[in-house]
Amino acid sequence: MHMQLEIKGLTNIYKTGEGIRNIHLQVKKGELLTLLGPSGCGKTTILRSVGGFVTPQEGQIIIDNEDISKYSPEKRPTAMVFQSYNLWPHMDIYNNLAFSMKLKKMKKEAINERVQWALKLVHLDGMEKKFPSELSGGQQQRIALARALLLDPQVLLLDEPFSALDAKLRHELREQLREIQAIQKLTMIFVTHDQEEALAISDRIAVMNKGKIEQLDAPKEIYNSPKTYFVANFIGKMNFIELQAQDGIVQLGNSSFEVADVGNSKVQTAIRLEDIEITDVDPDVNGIIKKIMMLGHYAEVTIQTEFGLLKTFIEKRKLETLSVEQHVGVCIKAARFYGNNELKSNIKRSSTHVKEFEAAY
Amino acid sequence: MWYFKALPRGKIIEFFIVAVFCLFFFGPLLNLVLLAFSGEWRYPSKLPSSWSLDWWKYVFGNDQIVHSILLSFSIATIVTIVSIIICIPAAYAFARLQFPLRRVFLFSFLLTNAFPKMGLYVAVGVMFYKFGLMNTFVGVVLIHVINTLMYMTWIPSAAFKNVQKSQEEAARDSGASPLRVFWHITLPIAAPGIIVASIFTFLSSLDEAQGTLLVGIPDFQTMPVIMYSIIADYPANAGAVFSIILTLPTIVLLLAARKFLGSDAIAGGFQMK
Repeated sequence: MHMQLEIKGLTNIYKTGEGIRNIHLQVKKGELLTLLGPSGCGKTTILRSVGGFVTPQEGQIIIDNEDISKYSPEKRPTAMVFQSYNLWPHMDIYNNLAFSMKLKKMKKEAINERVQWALKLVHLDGMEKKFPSELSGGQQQRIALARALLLDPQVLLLDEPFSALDAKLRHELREQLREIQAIQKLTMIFVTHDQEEALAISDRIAVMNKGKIEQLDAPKEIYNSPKTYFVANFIGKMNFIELQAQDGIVQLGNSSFEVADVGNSKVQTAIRLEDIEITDVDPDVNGIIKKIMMLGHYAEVTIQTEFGLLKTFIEKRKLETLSVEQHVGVCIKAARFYGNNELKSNIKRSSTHVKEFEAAY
Repeated sequence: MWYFKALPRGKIIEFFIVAVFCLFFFGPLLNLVLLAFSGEWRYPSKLPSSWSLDWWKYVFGNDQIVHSILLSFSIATIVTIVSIIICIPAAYAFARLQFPLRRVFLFSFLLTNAFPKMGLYVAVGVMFYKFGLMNTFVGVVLIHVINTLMYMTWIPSAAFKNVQKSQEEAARDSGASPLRVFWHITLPIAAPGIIVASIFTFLSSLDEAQGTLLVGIPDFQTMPVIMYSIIADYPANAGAVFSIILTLPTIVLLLAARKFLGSDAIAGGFQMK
């Protein structure tokens, strides 16, 4: 398989001890890879190393079979969209877009044509006479994207490009970015700390923590089987219960789970909110409803149990039968067990158990 | 009177306060203008009894004075250019580079303004004697530049700081070498601050009298220096004419540059960061 971008053994450690350690990554042509992680996890360092704005202490960056590690940013076949302050305020939109082509001494007609093409692509035709300060934040980021696309990059680098925008706009731009990527068959690295954004737009996600990649997988895999405790904690909402295993058996209320390779150690049990159901028949755990929070077409219900607070999602139509301080039973449909930050078992309960519950409702 | 009737009561008090302020502020200027264009004006009459341009003719007919005007403007121009050449790189360094004692250096530019001017000039004068710079054009320019270092470093430095790193990096990304980035991106974005600082420099050089008096006498008498002798030797009318000539460039330049003269551009220049 031909790789558009290869990162080999990239290491760059700052004086503070933060940084990246021995990073290996491969990005296919036309793929959108997201680097996801909390601030300080090194995701931006990787991105900036590829762009040439950080000189890593060790490692190679190979784009299209060419080692570009030693090139300065202006010589690299990459283009970057920054979080903010992308545009040059003293130039109008036309000149912002045309800057790179003017440096290349392209013909005026050709520049015009390319600028029009780029503006159309980001749905901002007719804006060329305006100045950046006359544009909204979202429009500015779209112009920045257009300018990056005009560089014909082999790899497009996006450094949290939508994080300064409000939620609605962020959603719109996400979709637009995906559309443009599909049309242009772009290879992209996208950096974000927003797990929802990462799940929504990526082909693959690299979840990072403390300068290392914890898991590199498709969004679905990352969500369904987080390989480490950190990833489970970072991606999506989770209930965590710390339990003591006995001879490989973890007891949770009325149910016991057979967990591989834990012996008699402590185990972190992670349960997705949607994997907890409220039931009267044969519950695993009993509790009292403490809080009901409406979140649109579903609600988040918090239940006090002997294992602490458990949260679950409930469909709106089922809400009417529930009220605060009501005693309820809880059934756990699936759980993941982590020992020593590693996934030990990912257990799905038999469908009969769930069917029984569905029927009883 | 209709105007006052239309005003709410609270506003009438405001109106008078503003009126008193205007009188206080513009009164002396008005007096100056009247004086400059009056022929005969004796106490206690409120207005001159005759108007004339005699004092203007005198000022522009006097070779020494005309020469001083030309000298002042050429010195101010050269001082501004020299100051830009010396200070802009320094300002950029203060804004972008981290080096030891950076803040101490930045602060030291304030010191020339902290001492009593005459004391500083006497000390400088002793050095100038040794180097043979007394009564030379270069000497006068140098003494003016000393005064302008602070404006020319602090304000552009703040302007350079306002140029975001990502704006420079985006230009690198677009294929521009570091030098081109500075020329096409950094300098134009910082230009308003640099223009403001240049205007301050030009005006302060035009206004400088003490240092010039000490270093430039007798051959380099600029406008403010000549003004001392005119005020001492001639009627007030000549002084008034001269003040107007001296004030005019200030007003013209400030009007021309008011686009750039935001309070933030000036205030931004005086932050220690």
